[in-house]
Amino acid sequence: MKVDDRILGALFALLGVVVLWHVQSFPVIPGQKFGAALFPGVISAGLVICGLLLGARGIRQRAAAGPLVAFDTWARDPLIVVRFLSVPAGLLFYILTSEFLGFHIAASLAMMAWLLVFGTRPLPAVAIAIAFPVLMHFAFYKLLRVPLPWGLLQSVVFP
Amino acid sequence: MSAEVLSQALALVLDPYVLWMVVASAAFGLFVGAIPGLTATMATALLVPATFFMPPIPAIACMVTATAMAIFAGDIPSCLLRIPGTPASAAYTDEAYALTRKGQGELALGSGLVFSVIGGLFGTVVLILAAPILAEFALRFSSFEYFWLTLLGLSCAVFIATGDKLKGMISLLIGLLVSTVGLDNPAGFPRFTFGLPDLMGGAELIPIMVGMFAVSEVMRSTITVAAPLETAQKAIGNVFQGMWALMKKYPLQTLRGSTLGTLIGALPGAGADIAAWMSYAMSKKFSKEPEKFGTGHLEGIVESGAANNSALAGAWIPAMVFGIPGDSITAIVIGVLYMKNLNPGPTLFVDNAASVYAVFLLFILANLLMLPFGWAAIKSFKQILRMPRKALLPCILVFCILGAFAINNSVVGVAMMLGFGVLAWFMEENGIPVAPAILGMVLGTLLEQHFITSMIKSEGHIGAFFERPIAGTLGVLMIAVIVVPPVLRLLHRRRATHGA
Repeated sequence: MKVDDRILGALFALLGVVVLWHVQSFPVIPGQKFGAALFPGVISAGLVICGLLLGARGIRQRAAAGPLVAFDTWARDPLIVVRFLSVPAGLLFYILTSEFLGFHIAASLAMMAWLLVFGTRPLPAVAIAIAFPVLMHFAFYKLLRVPLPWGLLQSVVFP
Repeated sequence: MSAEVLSQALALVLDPYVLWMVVASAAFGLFVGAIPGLTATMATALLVPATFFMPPIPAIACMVTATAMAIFAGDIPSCLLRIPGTPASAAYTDEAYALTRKGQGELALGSGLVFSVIGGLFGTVVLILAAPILAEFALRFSSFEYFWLTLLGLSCAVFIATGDKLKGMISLLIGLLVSTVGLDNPAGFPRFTFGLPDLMGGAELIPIMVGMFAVSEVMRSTITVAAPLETAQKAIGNVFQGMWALMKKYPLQTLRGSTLGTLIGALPGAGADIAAWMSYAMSKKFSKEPEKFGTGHLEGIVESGAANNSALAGAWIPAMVFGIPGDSITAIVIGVLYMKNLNPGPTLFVDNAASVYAVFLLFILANLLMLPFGWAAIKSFKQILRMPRKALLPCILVFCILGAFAINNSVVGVAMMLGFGVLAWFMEENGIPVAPAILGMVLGTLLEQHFITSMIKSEGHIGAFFERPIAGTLGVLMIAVIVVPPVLRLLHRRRATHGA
């Protein structure tokens, strides 16, 4: 996904403006010149300047530029698009459900989806999606003592 | 270096546990490096969760070994598939593949391996010689010098290491902005925490880096995941044949590549990939037979193959002495060093000399082990390729989840990983380099602290930044880095128009 410099510049400048506006609310320490707002303030001012410069450059090169947002050729293949989007989607699924479902179930489901979408045949996909989280459970929960959430399995493992 | 410190360091390294970790991470690094789409930086990011619970020396051993092996292993698919295994091999992929097409794959692979070892050892020697001297010098530094040095490191990343300086600057500013998150500021005021207690202590760097280097890379790999990989040469003979002759034929090139590589590595923000590109170009420029470049000529492979491995050790010089990462890999390493209470800086060389020398020894060990291990990796490359990427990528993702979760046992880490993974993918898609952002995140907090400390010391008097001799010199150097390149360009352009 290629976004034109005009839009990119505007986005970064906007981010700078929002931060600049937000840091005005930071408290000032009496008797001290340099407070919490100084650094974020300087950084966001820099973002505004660089964003505007980038946008201006984009406008100057408008003749050579393509559409405002361009997609690569692979974006025309729906299967590849699904594969690509499955990565953030699967991670989002894990983030939202891991507390409730627990690591084992949430990770297995996400893995199963990824394996199938990437083209692994169903039987090996199921086997890997169950075996790998179990392996990781032993490595991280047992060996390294990371408190992975049990979720739904809580009542099964600790009745 | 005293004999006592050396023997302590040897004892640290020759511990069977450490040696086992070296062997395991060597195999891991070769595997990751040899698979197209998985990079050396990703290998480091994936190692982080495994190193959480290790003592410092085995943790460092894993990272040093895995990255050295991965940078070499990137050459194998370059030669045989015309796909660089890591970006550091991209500079000479076409050259190496052309050799393979001529039926000389052994020569290309062999020179990649042997000159990687030579370059790696060269960089290590420079690291061993330069770091302690610099550290002794740096012991006298105060917050003024550190402020300039940090700023110099950040400017290097933007003004020297990136092609599009404006986009590099934006990347740096984003990184700096991320570094301001949390309570860690002069007023102790929670900045940009969005009410999340997890962000009070600042944006945790490890999940961010796992996202930026592993998740974004997996996202890119999904596009080619189903494409079959076919090697151009079926059987591979003796890769060491003819290497001695090459060493005698190209000694100057080897030295030049290793020197340039070490320097580029030591420069903040530029790592093995830029070192390889620059020294390949340099090799062509100074070659007696530049017309042969691109047709399967070994000279460029020798020079840039040495350069990318020497850059790895070079990057550790500023990382250990000043806490300023020389490349993306050392940016992760610095995070791990802080976790292990081995805070980088000149005092590390005084208080923890044995650990420092252990790092040096590990670099030597890793580079020497590269010969047998690299040979084995070349021989078993076909088996490595048989490992289906469509099954590998989901496993990597689950491993990323665990790594990002385990740092604080919180799902917020996983969310940060996802957010920054998507951000890094978007940035690279649009030609915004990621390295300056990483540098900004690592150094932003330090920059602010040094500035505020200095200002309190000098009671708000800005001139104090130029009063101490070293600080003043660094300040002038800093201004020169920004001012000189555009002035030179202007002069060049004027001369060009004048001549025309």
